[in-house]
Amino acid sequence: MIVNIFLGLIIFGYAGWMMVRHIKRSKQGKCAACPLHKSCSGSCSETESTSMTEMK
Amino acid sequence: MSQFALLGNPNTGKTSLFNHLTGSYAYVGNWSGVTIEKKVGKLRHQTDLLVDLPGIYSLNPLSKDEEVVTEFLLTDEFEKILNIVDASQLKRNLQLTIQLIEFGKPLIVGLNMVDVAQSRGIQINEKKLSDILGVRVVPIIARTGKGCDLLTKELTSDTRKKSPGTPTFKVDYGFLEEIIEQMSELFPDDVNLNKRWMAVQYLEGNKRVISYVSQHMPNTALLEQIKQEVEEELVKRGYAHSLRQFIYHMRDKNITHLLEQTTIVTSSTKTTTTDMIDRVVTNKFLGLPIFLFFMYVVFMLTFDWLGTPLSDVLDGFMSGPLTTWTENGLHVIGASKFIKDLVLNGIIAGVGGVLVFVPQIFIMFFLISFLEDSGYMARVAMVMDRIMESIGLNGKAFIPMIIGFGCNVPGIMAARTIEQPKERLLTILLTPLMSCSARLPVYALFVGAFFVNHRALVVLSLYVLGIVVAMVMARIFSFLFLKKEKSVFVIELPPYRVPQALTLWRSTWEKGKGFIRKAGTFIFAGSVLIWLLTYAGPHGWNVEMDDSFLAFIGGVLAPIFEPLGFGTWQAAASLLTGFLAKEVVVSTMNIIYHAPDTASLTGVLSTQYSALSALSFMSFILLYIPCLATVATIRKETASKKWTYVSVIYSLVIAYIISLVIYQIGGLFF
Amino acid sequence: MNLTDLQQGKTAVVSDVTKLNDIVKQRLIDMGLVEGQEICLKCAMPFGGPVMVEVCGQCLSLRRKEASRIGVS
Ligand SMILES: Nc1nc2c(ncn2[C@@H]2O[C@H](COP(=O)(O)OP(=O)(O)OP(=O)(O)O)[C@@H](O)[C@H]2O)c(=O)[nH]1
Ligand SMILES: [Mg+2]
Repeated sequence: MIVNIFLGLIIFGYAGWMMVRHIKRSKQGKCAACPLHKSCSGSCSETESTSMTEMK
Repeated sequence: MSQFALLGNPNTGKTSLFNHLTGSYAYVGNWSGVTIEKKVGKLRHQTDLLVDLPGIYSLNPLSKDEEVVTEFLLTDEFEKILNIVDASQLKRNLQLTIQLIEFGKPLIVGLNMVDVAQSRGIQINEKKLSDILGVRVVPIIARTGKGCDLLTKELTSDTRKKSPGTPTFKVDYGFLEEIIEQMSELFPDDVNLNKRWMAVQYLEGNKRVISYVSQHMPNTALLEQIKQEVEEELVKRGYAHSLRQFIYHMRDKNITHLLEQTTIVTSSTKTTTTDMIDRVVTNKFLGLPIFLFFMYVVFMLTFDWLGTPLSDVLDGFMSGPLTTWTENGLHVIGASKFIKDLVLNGIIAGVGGVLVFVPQIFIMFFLISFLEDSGYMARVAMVMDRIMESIGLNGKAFIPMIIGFGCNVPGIMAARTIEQPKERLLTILLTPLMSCSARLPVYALFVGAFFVNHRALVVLSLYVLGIVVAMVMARIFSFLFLKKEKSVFVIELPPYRVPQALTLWRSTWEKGKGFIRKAGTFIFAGSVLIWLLTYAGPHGWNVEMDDSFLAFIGGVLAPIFEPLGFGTWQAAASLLTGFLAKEVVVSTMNIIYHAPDTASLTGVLSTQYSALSALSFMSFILLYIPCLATVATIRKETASKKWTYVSVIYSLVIAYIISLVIYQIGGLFF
Repeated sequence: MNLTDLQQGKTAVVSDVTKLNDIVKQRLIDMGLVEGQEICLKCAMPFGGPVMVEVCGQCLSLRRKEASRIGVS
C-alpha cells in the first residue's frame, strides 16, 4: 500500500511539475530551443526591445 | 570577472572559436547568419565571460541580427574586443577591424582560417601586421582549436594594465579629419564612447549611432548641418559617391597599403573543389533537380532505407522485453492495478510510442546538419530565389524554412537575417507551415498503417504540401497587405567544407537531444495527464474509455471534423493536445487506442481511418496550428499581438480547407 | 557595358555601382564589390534568376536586375 502511494505521488508529482515547467518554458519561446539555455547567462529577451520595433 | 566580445564578419568562425574557448555547443554552420543572437559563455578554467555575437560586415546595421551587435557595442559593458578575421579574406575583413579600432576599446585580432589562406597561397606576416595595427594578432584555426590556448592567455593576461591592448593604428580621412574634430567637440561629455568613432559613424550614416546621439543631445541640428556641408564639399571636389563610400575608400587605401607590407600571395589560379562542385549543383538546368533529388534521398533514408527498420527494432524492444520487465517489476513490489495501468498503459504507451521514432528523427537531423555545415545551404537559397521572387520573397527566406524542418522555433529566429521587414515578417508567418520533426512521428505512424509501400513518397508529398501552401499564402499575404516594399537578394556563397564528423555528430545530438529530453519531461507529463483523463470519467474511476472525460471533451469537438473524415472523439482529443507539443498527438493515440506497440496501433487505426481520411488527418496535423513554443517565438520576434493571432488563425483555416478538399474531392475518386 | 552582358566565365573590372538600390549597394560594397575590383561572372540561373559572381576570391549571388545596374569594363 505504501509502495503504491509512494509511486503514485512520485509519478503525479513529477508529471505535474514537468507540465508546469514545459508551459512556462514554451511561453518564453526562443530560449527553450536554444542549445545554451542552461549555461548562457545573457538572457535572450534582452534583444527583444530591438527586434522589429518598426514592424507593428 | 571581465567580459570579452567576439566580433567579426559573418562566417569567419566566431562561434567555432566560442565553442572551443568556452566548451559550449553553440550552433555552427557554413553560411552567413548562423548566429542571430548574443550568447554568453564562461571561458574554460577561468571566471571571465565571452560573448558570441552575430556576424557583421560593418557597424551600420541593415538587418535585425546586425542590430543586436551595434546595440551591444553601444549599451553593454565589456573590457575587450576579440576581433575574428578571416585570413583568406583579409582585405574585406579589415574594414570592420578599422571601425573596431576606432571604437577605442582594447582589441585582440584572432587571425582565423590560416589553413584556408595557406591553401590559397596567402602568407601573412602576423608580426608585422600586429606592429602596424598596434594590437596583438594571434593566428588560429578555430575548427581544430589550434592557437586557442594562446588566445585565451592573451585575452585574460593584461586586463589590468590596460595600455598594451589599446590599438594605435589610425586611418587618415583627409579633409574629413578637421570636421571629425569639430564634431567631436560638439558631443556631450557624459557619453562614454569614443568621440572620434562617433563622429565617423555619424558621417557614415550609422542609423543607430545617429539615434543614440540624438538621445543624448538636445539639439543635433548643428551636426546635421555639418554633415550636409561635407556632402556638398564632396561633390565640389568632384567625388561622385556618397560620404559613406568616401570613408570606405579612405579605409581601403590604408588597408591596401597595409596588405602590401604584410602579405605575400603566391596565388595559383587552379580551379578549386568549390568551383567544381558549383559547376554541377548550381548548373543552370541541374540546380533545381539536384536539390529536389537531395530532398528525395533525405526522405528515403529517413522513412525507408534506414529509419524505419531501426524504429521497428526499437519498437520491438519497447513492446517486448521492456514491457515484460516493467510488468514483472511492478508485480514484485506489489503495485496496485491503478499503478500498473498508469505505468503500462499510460507512461510506456505514451512515452515509448514517441521514443520509437528517435532513429528517424536523428537521421533527419543528421542530414539537415550536413546541409548546414557543407556550404550547400547558401546555394539552395540562390537556386530557389527565382521561385521565391515570384511570390514576393527572396531566396534567403528559404534558409529559415529549411531550418524549420528541424524545429520551427530556430527557423523563425533565423529570419532575422532578412533585410527587408516585410519579407522577414512573411517568412516568420510561413515558417510554421514547414513540417517540423515533432510532426514526423505522426506521419511515420500513419504511413506505417496505410501506405506501407509508399512511405517516403507520401511523407515527401506532405512536406511539399507544406511548402506549396506556404508559397500560396506568401502570394496572398503580399497581395493583401504587405506590398509596399521592394524585395532584395544578396547572399554570400561560402566555399564548401567537408563537415567534421565530430561537429556533425554534435549538432545532430544538440538538435535531437531536445526530442529525447521532451520525451522524459513533457511527454511523460502529458501521457500521465491523458491517461488520467481516459481513466476517470464523470461517473467515477476506471470507467470505459468511451465514458471518460477525454471522450467527453473530444466528443464536443468531433462533429467539426466530420466533413474532414475524422470526426471521432479520439482524433479530436489528440489534436487538442497537439497544440502543446505536436509529438503528444502520437502519445495520445497510443494511450487512447490501448496499443501496446506500434504494430497493434496501426492495426487499430485501420479500423478507424481509411487511407483517405488518414491523408486528410496528416495534412491537418501538418498545417493546423503552430505549437505553443512557436507561437511564443512569433510573438517575441514580431513584437506584435496582431501578427501572432494572424499566424494562429490563418493556419487553422487553411488546415481545415485543405483537409476538406482532400477528403471531399478524394472521396469522389476512391 | 554592364555585368549581365559579360560572358559566363569571363572577367571584367567594376566601373560603376552608383545605380544600385541602396541596401543592395551597401551589402555589395561590404562584400568587396567596389569600383576597380575584378569581377567574374560564374553562372546565371534560368528564367531570369540570380547570377553568381566572384569578387576577391569570394562568390556572391545577386539578382539579375541588380547585376544589370553594375557597370563593368
Ligand atoms: N577550414 C577552416 N574552417 C573553419 C575555421 N574556423 C571555422 N571554420 C568553418 O567555418 C564555418 C563557419 O563557422 P562559424 O563558427 O559558424 O562562423 P561564425 O563566424 O560564427 O558565423 P556567423 O554566426 O554566421 O556570423 C564552419 O563551417 C566552420 O567549420 C578554420 O579555422 N578553418
Ligand atoms: Mg556564429
